[in-house]
Amino acid sequence: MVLGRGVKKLDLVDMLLLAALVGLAIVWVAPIVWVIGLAFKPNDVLMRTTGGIFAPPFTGKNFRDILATSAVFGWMLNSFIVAIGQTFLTLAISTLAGYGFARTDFPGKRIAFILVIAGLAVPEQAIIVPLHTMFAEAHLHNTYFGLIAPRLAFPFGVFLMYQYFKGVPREIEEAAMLDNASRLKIFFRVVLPLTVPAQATLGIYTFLHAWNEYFWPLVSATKPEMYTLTIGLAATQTNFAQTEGIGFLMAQAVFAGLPILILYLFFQRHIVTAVAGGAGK
Amino acid sequence: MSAPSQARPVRVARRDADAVGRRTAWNALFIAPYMLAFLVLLVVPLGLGMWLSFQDYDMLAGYGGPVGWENYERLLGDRIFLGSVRNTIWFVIISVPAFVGLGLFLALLLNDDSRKSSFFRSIFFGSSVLSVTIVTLVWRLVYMPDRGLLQNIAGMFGLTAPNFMTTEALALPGIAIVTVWWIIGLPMMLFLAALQQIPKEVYEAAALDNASRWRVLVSITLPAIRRTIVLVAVIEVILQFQLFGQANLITNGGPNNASRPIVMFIYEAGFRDWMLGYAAAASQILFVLMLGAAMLQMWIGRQKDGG
Amino acid sequence: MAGISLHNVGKSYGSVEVIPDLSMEIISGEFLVFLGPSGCGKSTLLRMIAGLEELSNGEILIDGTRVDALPPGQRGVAMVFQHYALYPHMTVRDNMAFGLRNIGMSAGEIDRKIADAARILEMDHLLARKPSQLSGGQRQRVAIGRAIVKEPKAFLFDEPLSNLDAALRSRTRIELARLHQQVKATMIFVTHDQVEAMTMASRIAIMNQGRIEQVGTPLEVYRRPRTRFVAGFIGTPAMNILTVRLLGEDKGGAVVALPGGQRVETRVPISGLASSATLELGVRAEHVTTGGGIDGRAEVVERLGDRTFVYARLPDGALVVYEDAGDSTVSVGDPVALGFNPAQVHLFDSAGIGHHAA
Repeated sequence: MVLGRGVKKLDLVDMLLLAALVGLAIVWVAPIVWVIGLAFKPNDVLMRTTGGIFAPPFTGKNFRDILATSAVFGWMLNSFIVAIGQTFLTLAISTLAGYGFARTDFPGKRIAFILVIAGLAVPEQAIIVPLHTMFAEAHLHNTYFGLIAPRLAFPFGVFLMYQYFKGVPREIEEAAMLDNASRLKIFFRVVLPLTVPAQATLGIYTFLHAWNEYFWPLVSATKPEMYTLTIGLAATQTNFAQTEGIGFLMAQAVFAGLPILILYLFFQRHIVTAVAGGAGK
Repeated sequence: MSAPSQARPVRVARRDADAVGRRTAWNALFIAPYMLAFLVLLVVPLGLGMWLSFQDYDMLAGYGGPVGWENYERLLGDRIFLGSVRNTIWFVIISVPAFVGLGLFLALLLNDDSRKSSFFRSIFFGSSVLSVTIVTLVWRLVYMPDRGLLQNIAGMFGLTAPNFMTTEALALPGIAIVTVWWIIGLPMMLFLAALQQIPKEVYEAAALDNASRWRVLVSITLPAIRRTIVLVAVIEVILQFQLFGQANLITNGGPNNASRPIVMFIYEAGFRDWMLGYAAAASQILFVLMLGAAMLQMWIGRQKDGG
Repeated sequence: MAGISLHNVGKSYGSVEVIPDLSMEIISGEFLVFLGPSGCGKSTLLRMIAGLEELSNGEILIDGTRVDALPPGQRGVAMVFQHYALYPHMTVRDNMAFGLRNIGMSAGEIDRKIADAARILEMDHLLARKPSQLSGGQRQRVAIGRAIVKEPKAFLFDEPLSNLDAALRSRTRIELARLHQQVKATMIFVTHDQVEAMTMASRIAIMNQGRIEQVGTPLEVYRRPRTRFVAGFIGTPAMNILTVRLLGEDKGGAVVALPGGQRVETRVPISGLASSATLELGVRAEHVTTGGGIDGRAEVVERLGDRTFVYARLPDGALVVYEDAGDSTVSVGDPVALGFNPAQVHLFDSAGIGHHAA
């Protein structure tokens, strides 16, 4: 709680800083609490006023309506399929490529690596128009593969794994070579088990990114049954100020946000190190 | 002992010093799956996009052949595009200092192992895991003119809350507030990671030297994490140049195009109006702007390094 | 158990020559130590024998068979690494079994070999543990055990004691020497620590800048250093080296003069010395006697208990260390008179080559 980790008593500066911290925390929490409150209010009440969310009347109707009518389950399933598929494929190809670049040598490696590193600078937006055309030609829009594939090309995961492999002592692999292990055996039996922390980092990072992806699903998944959660919710919220269903809309937001928030609370420690470690490299 | 070293022909072993084992083409198989994805899904579209930007290619009107720089020339005369460039740069200018400043402030305050700090860290990082759609849904309700949270609070004091969604000058700052609220967690965590790298002895030495808290911050902490400050600034510039979802969902680029960013322009040109060549040209300009901004920052960071 | 031949071995990284051209024979069953300062190429040489580095030039033979094109696993050597390089996710037993399983040995035989090695190294109780649950010394044993079970033609050690504390290091030295007696295999050991080299080696190869300066038994390299580099590298405190001038010959030995003019007699034959532009005299602390004709003043006195080292400054500015008795009464500032034992004086010519008493 002190800027310089000194050993001191709580002074006026500390009190002001603490007050600022609490104030900011309220700004961060209040909108979410308020939205959760709205989700339990009857829609007709919300048409008149959104004040007094902690006073009755309350209702669970908005959530019952979701269970009965909303497409949110299907979108959630789509999001899971896309996020998990993307995570597994990213882990597989990034780990292999990261190892290849960090620990093996082959003709053309330097040039390939320079190319991949340069690829780090390419933003999604720079290629999305031609990519959309390519996928349209190949009839890949509105498929899971179409939603999963584009992200696989981005070099971040390869770079992260490359950095990690660089940090693993070479001696261990050399010992395995002297133990007559083949290159593949070294990779799968000796090196791969050492990469679990890096896999977790990259996996969490990729999953979160895929789960929250907006632009590509927006242009690729155009059929409502292929919407991901993000896109589905976006589609329902246009013009909501005029809608009578604020409570329903908020219930949907809560319902959609809850799984990922619960996952976050469960894996908090890992997620935090994953994101910090991932971007810090 | 100094035998004259005569020049002898040696087999120049051009291999990576960190590699283990022999240099053989078989090893390329490790990178083959990724390289396939990289080439087909990144390199090819990148090249195709550059090519497209010099073509008259409209999905509705058909392919009209190469047009040289015409798309770029048209973009430079397109008031909406120029406005979107201005909006994007303005957004970067107001949001990046907020990310760096607030992220650093939070990290400095929460840089210890206490339960309290860990609790606050969870709060500030937690919103980052929500998708843009949920975040904008929440904040549209906060900003809603008559019944929004902001108006509810202002109403308690007999005031009228500013309307971020319908006031031209406030639209981008409003989106910037949402964005900071959404993803302040990343810069905070990067700063925390850097702060933890500073050896404790340095602070103990400073305490023995009677350094004030402010002095410690300015003379020890900030110089020690200078590289991270540059890194966070570069990351945030790159991220905020890509503003899209928040603007698309909160203000839809309005009012009067006041909050339309470049990516949204690309989206509309490419996927609403289907002017592919035109959209591709706008993409190239965005790419160049982002590269330029990132390089400029790294250059500034390096200048300070040397000076 | 096998001899190893290095023929014109060379290694370069790009334009940097780490080892220009090196040839030597390692005798079957011997404990050969490559000794030298860091960066002298000794580890690179060991790694080339292991197959972890490719040769830029030359060839390597084990038991008369050329191996430099073979992958590391097929050379029949085992290596103990500086940082042990245990597989962190495998138990001690699996660490030792890994290499045996890779060559398709039967489970029963693997168990028997692991049991044997565990008995020799007294580590039966560690077999089920993971490396992270072991102390530094225990990891060291496992690393050695992993080498033993393979019954290699030669053991290669890459500075394996450098991560141990002083007490454990001297104990492990004794254990390695005992192990060598027991398994009677060829052992090649790389180190920068002369004590390790002197205590364990059958022969020491002293390396400097990618070249071998001298190969010999510990006493040979100590008593008759082939070069000035060897003379300065072996022995603590380091050999006294003084610039001298050749005066002539007396009783079949060269007579030289120190810069201050003092005459020093030696038993070094004069042949081959006259042509040298400069000469240096080398003498170890234990061969400097008191009561001679060279005057100096004690500057530092190091008392080790059983003996005392006195660093004396000569009038010409040179510093000479000599060994005195443990209960020496010399104190700082005292005048001392020194002499050099003529039979133990070495002379080094301008090429750095040592000349010794016949």
